[in-house]
Parts: sequence; structure tokens; C-alpha cells
Amino acid sequence: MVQTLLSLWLSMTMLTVTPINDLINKSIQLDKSTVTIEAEVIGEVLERGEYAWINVNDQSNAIGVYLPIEMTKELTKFGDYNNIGDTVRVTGYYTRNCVEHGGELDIHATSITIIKKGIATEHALSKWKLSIALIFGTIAGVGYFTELLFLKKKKKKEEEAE
Amino acid sequence: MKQLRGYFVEILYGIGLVALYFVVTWLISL
Amino acid sequence: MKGRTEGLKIVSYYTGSIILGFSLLFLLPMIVAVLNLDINSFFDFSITMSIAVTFAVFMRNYGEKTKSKGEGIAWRHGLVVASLTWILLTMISAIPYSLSGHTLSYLDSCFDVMSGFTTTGVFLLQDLDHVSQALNFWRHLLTFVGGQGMVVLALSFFVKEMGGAYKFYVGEGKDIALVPNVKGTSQWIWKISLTFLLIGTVLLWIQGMILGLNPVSAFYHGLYIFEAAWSTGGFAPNLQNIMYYHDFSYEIIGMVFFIIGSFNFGLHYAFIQGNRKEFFKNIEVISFTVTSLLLSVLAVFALKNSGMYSDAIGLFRRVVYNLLSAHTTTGFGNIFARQFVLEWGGLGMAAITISMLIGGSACSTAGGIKGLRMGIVAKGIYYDIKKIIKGDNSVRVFKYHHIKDQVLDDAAFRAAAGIMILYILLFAVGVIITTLYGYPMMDAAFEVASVSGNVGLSVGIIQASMPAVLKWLYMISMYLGRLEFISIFVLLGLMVKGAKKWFKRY
Repeated sequence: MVQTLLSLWLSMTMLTVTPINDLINKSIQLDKSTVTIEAEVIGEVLERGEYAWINVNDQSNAIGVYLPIEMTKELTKFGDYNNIGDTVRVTGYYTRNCVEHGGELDIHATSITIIKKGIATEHALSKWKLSIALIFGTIAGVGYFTELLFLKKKKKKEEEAE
Repeated sequence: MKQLRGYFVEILYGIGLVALYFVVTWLISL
Repeated sequence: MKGRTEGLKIVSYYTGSIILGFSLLFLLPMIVAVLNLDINSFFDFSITMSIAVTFAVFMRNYGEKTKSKGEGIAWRHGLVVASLTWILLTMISAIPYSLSGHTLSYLDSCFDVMSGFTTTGVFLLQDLDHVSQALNFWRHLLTFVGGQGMVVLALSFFVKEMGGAYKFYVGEGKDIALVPNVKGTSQWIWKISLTFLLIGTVLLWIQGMILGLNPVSAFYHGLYIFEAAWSTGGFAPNLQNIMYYHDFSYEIIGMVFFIIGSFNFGLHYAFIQGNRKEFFKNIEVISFTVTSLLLSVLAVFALKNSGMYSDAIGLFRRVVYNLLSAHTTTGFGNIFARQFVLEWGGLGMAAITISMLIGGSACSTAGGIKGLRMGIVAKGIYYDIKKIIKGDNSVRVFKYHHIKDQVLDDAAFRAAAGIMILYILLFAVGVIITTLYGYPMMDAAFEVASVSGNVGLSVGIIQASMPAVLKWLYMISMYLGRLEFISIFVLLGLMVKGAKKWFKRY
């Protein structure tokens, strides 16, 4: 009882960060409340006039955040193959069946802060991968052309035999 | 060209089918 | 006596040839890698292509002498070529996944590829939101090619019409003849798919930009979503699946294509020939419309009464969309996996699970028991009852309409009912084994129906951390469901026979 009151108080004061997956698993409990999440922005900002959607992923799951477009102006890096996106702390109103958005499970952000700037990811080509690629490529090439030559010779023999 | 029309007609029929589902859903939601 | 290895040689030659042709496809992700200045992915795919070509050359070489034996290809050869090709191509196509580092094991990579080829759509790939464009391109391409069929792809290119061609074709789970020869039919299947690919990608590209994607992303997403929709595969480039887009119109376009995509190729061909009436007469379209409407109505009632969704749009987008995605065995989802269990309730879950088992149309990219069989079995039972009521004296021929009027005789009924029983058995076995691992029955039923019907929706059982036994179980279920059992059983049977002979000799 005391624990429930305490966590209720904490979440009301927006000090607890909820993993996105918890939002889904505890959807009935957390529905229509204010929540705070910390996640990486991925992809790109989807502008919808005065508002926009951003998609965020905190490794437990990913969710859409609907917010006024001005709030997205500070975001510079978005997660994809080449980047780790900005990590943001978003506080907002969580609905598991948002009527405005056709029943979507979403967060309407009231505040967003960048807590860690995103960086580019390194994908250096390893020496062994390059060597294997060259070796295998050579084997395949040799094999294929040998068969091609072999077939041509066979065809010639058959034509000569006739 | 006439063949190409067939593709769009099929897409139209598909849209029609989807519309049918929507109408049924809407009726239930009342 | 050359008889002993001749079968092996025939299978080797044709399987090798299909693999050789397929290996050209690796060039496409390599081009995407170059366009994205992604040298790592470029080599991932070049390595894979080299391996594929090498294997193919050896296999063709081993079976070289059987090349002109168009007439010597028996049913067992044809079916085995289909089922064996699928296994080998899965193992080869999994290599780029493993090289990318996004899978926790080679088994996981094979699982994902099998899911792609069978157009299921579940995945074990890690960190999908940070995957390379080339790998994402490959996953979606896999599902597009798998939907039409790798054998079909090969058959459309083989230069001369082989006597055995039809047997390979059937081995892959197809039997419709659009035109009298198999090569022609295969080419038509590809022509139709590629034309829709063009139309669909453009439509999704435009809508993608409208919903906020930049032109380049909009193009890639459009291509991927079309490939996944048409093939009823259900992959999407991001973890949130269709939820990533937050757009009703995008969902509708995808839905129209996944519904059409679940229909029989014979139907598409009919439309192209100007025959629209087929849409209303075809037993599968009728069967699908009836079952999907009924089940949608059930699910909509369930979720309306629970108070979850109250307006038409919410009910349509979050209930009907997902139910149709399940019924066509697509697997696109715009709710989270766990929401099915937490919010749909018993009736909703039952409706969607049954949808997945019924599945789409025969000879399409869809899975499940299939509308044609449901229709034939239903009609067969109906006619049996009618015969009894009317009395035995009249000799009547009962028919059903599928592209053309066909006779509903005992053989047709038996074939339909037989495969239906196999699906149900597969489902039952899968559910039992899954529950033995501790998962709740309802969750297990959903997940197993999803893999055996090649759907792709999940309640959360399928994860990289799940027991390896279940990974194998589901992978095999996807494979059996897709090729419709027979060609795989023949492969197994011949392998057992071969093994017995071997033991006898030594």
C-alpha cells in the first residue's frame, strides 16, 4: 500500500523514467497518465504542419512521440546505420488508445530535453573481411569461368561429332 | 495499354473491398 | 550401374542451376551498399555471392551429364529440387545477416531468412533501427522473391522448356497454370508482380513524402513496404513496423496491396485479360470475404465492448487492419505485440487466431490452410448432405468456380481435406511443444498459428532469447506451411531411404 502510494507520488512528480516496454506491458495501469521516458531518436522527424512525430527507441522498445514542431528544432542526429541519434528525455501524456490518432498507443510530449548528443558510428572495414572477400571472389570467378569454358569445349565437340 | 488498365481496375476493386470493411466497422461503432 | 546416383545428379544439377541464377540477386544489395557508401555491406554480399556461385558450379558440374534428361525427371526429383533449394538458399542468404553482426547466432540468421522466404515476417534480427540500408534492402527483397517463389524465378529464365519443369513448380506449392506452359506461367507471375511493384512503390513513395519522410527515405520505405505487402510478408524497415509512419493513408495503401497480394495469381491474370467478373465468382475471394468479414465483426464487437476503441476509425485502424493483416497472412501490425494478449480478450484472440489458420488464397503469396480448401471442404460437405436429402438416384456433378468451373469430385475433396488436416496437425504439435516450455496456451496458439500460416504477427514469444528448440520448431513450421508439406515429406522420405541403403552397404 505504502509502496503503491510512493511510486504513484514519484511518477506524478515525473522523477521516474519508465522503459518504453513497461508502458506497453503496464498499459492499463499507466494509461492517461504523465510519464517520462529516455530514448534515442531514430529515423527522422515526420512533420505534420504545426506538430510532428518523432520515433524513439530505448532498446526495450520503440514508440512514437507527438509534439509541437518547435520542440524538434534542437534535434540534430537521428539513429540509423551511420548514427546514434540524440538521446532525449521526454515527459508527456501517455495514452494507450489515443483518439486523436486513430487509437494509437502514443505519448503527447509536454517537454523534451536532449540529455546526450548523438554521434556518428564507425564501421571500419576489417582486414580479414576484405581478404576473405577477395579470396572467395577469386575462387568463385575461377570456378564459374572454368565451367563456362568447359561447356563451350563440350558444345564444340558435340558440333564436330555431327 | 489495355492490360495496364486491368491492374488499376484490380486496385480499384481492392479499394472497394476495403471500403466495405470500413462501412461495416462504422455501422458497428454506432 | 549409373541408376543409383542418377537421381542425386539430377537433383544436384537443377538445384545448382537455381542457386546460380539466384546468386545474381546479391548484386542488388551490393549496388545499394555502393549508393550508401557502405563498404562493409558491399563485401558482406560479395562474400555471400561468391559462396553461392561456388556451390552452384560444383552442384551443376556433378549433375552435368543429366542435363538433357528433360523427360527423365520424375515427381520425386521435381519436389526434392524445390524443397532442397529452399534449404540451401536459406543457409546461403543467411550469411550477410551473420556478417552484419545484427544476429546473435547463425541459427537466428537462418530463422530470419526462412521467415523472409516463406513471407512470414517474424524476426530475430537485433537493433533493426540501426541496420544498414543494404541489409534492409535484402530482407525485403527476400520476402518479395520468396513470395513469388525461387523456383518460379528460375523457371521464368530457363531457356528451353523442360519436361520436368511442372514438377519443380508444384514442389514449391503452386499449381495454377496461367498459360499452358510452365515457363510462360512463371514469366506472367513475375510480370504481374513487377508491374504492381512499380505502381505500388510510386504510390507509397508519394504518400511517404506526404507523411513526412524525405524523398530518399520515402523511396526506400515505399519499395520495402510494397514488397512486404504484396508478398504478404510483413517485414518493415523499423522496429515499430507500420506504427513508425503514424499515417492512416499509408496503412490503407499497404492494406489494399496486401489484400490484393493475398489473392491467387489466376485472379490477377484474369483482370489483365479484362475479366472482372472473376472477382465476384471466384470461390477464394468469396471465402475470404465471408470469413474475414465475420471474424472482423467479432473482433470489432469484442474491442468495442471492452471499451478499448469507441470510434469507427480507431476500430478500423487497430482492429480490422490487424485482423485483415492476419487473415491475409501479411503480418503488418500497428499495435504492439503484447497488446494482442493484454487487450484483445478471449474472443478477439480467438477471432484473430482463426483468421491466421484460414489464411489467404492458394497459389498466391499467402499462407494458411487457404480459402480454396476451406471452400472446397465446405461445399463438399454441403453437397454430401444435399445428395442424401435428395436421394441417391440422380447422378449429379457438383462444381465450384475457381478461375473456371471445376468439378468437385472425391479427389478434389480429398486433396483439400488432406492438406487441411496436416495444417491442423502442425498447429496442434506446435502448440503442445510451446506450452511444454511454459508459455500460456492462448499465447502459444497465436504464435504457432502465426508461424504455420506464415503470418508474422507475434505476441512476444519469438525473441532471440527463446529456447533453440522453439527456434527450430518455428523455422520448420514456416517451411512446412509455405511449401505445403508434400515436397518436404518427399525430401525426407528419400533421405531416409538413401540413408537405409547406405547402412545396408556398410
